[in-house]
Amino acid sequence: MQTLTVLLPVLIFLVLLLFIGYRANHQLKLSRDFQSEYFLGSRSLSGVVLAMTLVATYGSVSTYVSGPGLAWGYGLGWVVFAAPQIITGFLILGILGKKMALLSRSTGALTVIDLLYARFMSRSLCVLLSLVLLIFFAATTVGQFVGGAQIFAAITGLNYKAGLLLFAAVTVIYTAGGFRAVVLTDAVCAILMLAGMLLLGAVILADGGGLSAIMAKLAATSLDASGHSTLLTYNAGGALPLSLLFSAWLLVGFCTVGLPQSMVRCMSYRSTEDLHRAMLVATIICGALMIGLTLLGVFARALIDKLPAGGSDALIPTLIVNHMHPLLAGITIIGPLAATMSTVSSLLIAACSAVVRDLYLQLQGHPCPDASAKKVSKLLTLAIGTVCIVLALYPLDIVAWINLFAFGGLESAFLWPMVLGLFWMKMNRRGALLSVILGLGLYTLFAIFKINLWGFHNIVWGCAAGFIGALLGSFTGPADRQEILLRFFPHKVRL
Amino acid sequence: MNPHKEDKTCPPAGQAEKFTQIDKEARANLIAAIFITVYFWLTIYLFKDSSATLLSLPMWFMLSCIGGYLLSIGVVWFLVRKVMRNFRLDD
Repeated sequence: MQTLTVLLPVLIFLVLLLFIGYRANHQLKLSRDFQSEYFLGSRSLSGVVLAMTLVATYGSVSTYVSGPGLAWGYGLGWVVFAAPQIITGFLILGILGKKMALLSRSTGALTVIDLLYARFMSRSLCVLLSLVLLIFFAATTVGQFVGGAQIFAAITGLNYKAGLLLFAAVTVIYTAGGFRAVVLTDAVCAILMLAGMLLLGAVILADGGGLSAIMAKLAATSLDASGHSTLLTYNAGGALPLSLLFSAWLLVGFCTVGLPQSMVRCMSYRSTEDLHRAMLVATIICGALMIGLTLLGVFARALIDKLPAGGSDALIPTLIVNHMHPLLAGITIIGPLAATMSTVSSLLIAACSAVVRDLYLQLQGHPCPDASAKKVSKLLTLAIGTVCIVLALYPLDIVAWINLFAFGGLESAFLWPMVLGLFWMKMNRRGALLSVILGLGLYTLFAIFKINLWGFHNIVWGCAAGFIGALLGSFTGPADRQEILLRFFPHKVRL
Repeated sequence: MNPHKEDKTCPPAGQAEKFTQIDKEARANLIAAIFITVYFWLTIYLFKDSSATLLSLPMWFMLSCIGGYLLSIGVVWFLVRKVMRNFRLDD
């Protein structure tokens, strides 16, 4: 009975997503340009939907589970680590938004790599980036499935595999409906992520006896030698080195401009008015979610004083199970599930586009015709999704490991080719290639050999190496063709 | 005649004007993000040892994290109202 009460809201949520996917699929049938509709929703996103899908894609199951769990241990210092995300909502839209929208229209680009091909005309760059994207997106998808299924099992009491099959299958099925299905379900997910956070917050504040009682309890917990609580210091009493806290401003702040799953959204909105509205809405909800959820993890210390047996990732599930009525728990668990599903759906559709658009073009020498794309795209999305589900059912160490560094890996590969490619006329094909090879290469080597220099996160070195690679290549290699420059820099080229 | 006033009523029309405007906006966004970063660390640096609290939370936290969040909303509001301009994306 208890399980059923928890499951009921979740089931309603899953049916709603399937219904949205079904409706979007109808739109797909009506569309005259299949690929533009399937991969970009025919560039018709409104400002609010753009903001919601950007934040829902960005916010993942770790936002809901790992972040608050770590905040439980480190205290407010972990909120300092998460705080750079107050700029994440607007920065990519503000920097890349308009130029990507204009240029993807004038070049007909439907994917991030399409646009990079139009800029650099490099086959090796595009094949390399397509593979990087496929590998990292697949590993991240598996990681998300595993995380989502774990929290699902912990809260509903349902078997891990049964829960995984249930919500993962629903995600893959509605994602096969295309980009419009993905962004509309993302919008619903963003609202439910916020709702779950508010419910969690209400329960923690009520059961903790109010904010001042919670803070009084924290002040008496985890004391250092001088009797101050490390939970209330900005660096967790020294456990979080300044170098790591500064790195966070690159990892989850400035360098998020380089995330391809966010970039593609810059090509999908309707008008500049929509972009401006999206910047404001995304900043409001991104900051609220990232700071809010992390802060709730800190407050949870007043309710749970011993780390659960399952480690810090078990904190939020434990909280939901022990402090919430089953029905409320059922609604709250939609939050992390929504975070999982909205991330996965965006990665899957982008992975499909990397094959149908980018790899097809490079290997066949011409763009995939609409008729063939129509036949294979949905099946391919389903196939990639199914592989990820199987890998989540039977986890491999290598996949879990790739997932760990996928986020920074994507940033170090895509950031400079796109940002410098769009804003710096001297950036050329060799610069882009060297930037990917040095940036991602160094980032990967550091991850393999577990190199840590002065406590900085490896993204700092990956990002720096990518930048140096871009400069080296651009100053030594030949300039790109005049007609390319004329298209990408009409305000700078002198004829 | 005030050139800014003329700018407001007449959106960038040609491709070159649009690109010049976009470069200006991208620079403004980057500066805005750096400004928020500097504000964030400055408040932590200045208030990290203060025992003052606001709503029971340490002052450094309220100013940097909560204040920084509100500041970023204000900064974006300023950007989209005063710096960024509307124009057609397809022609």
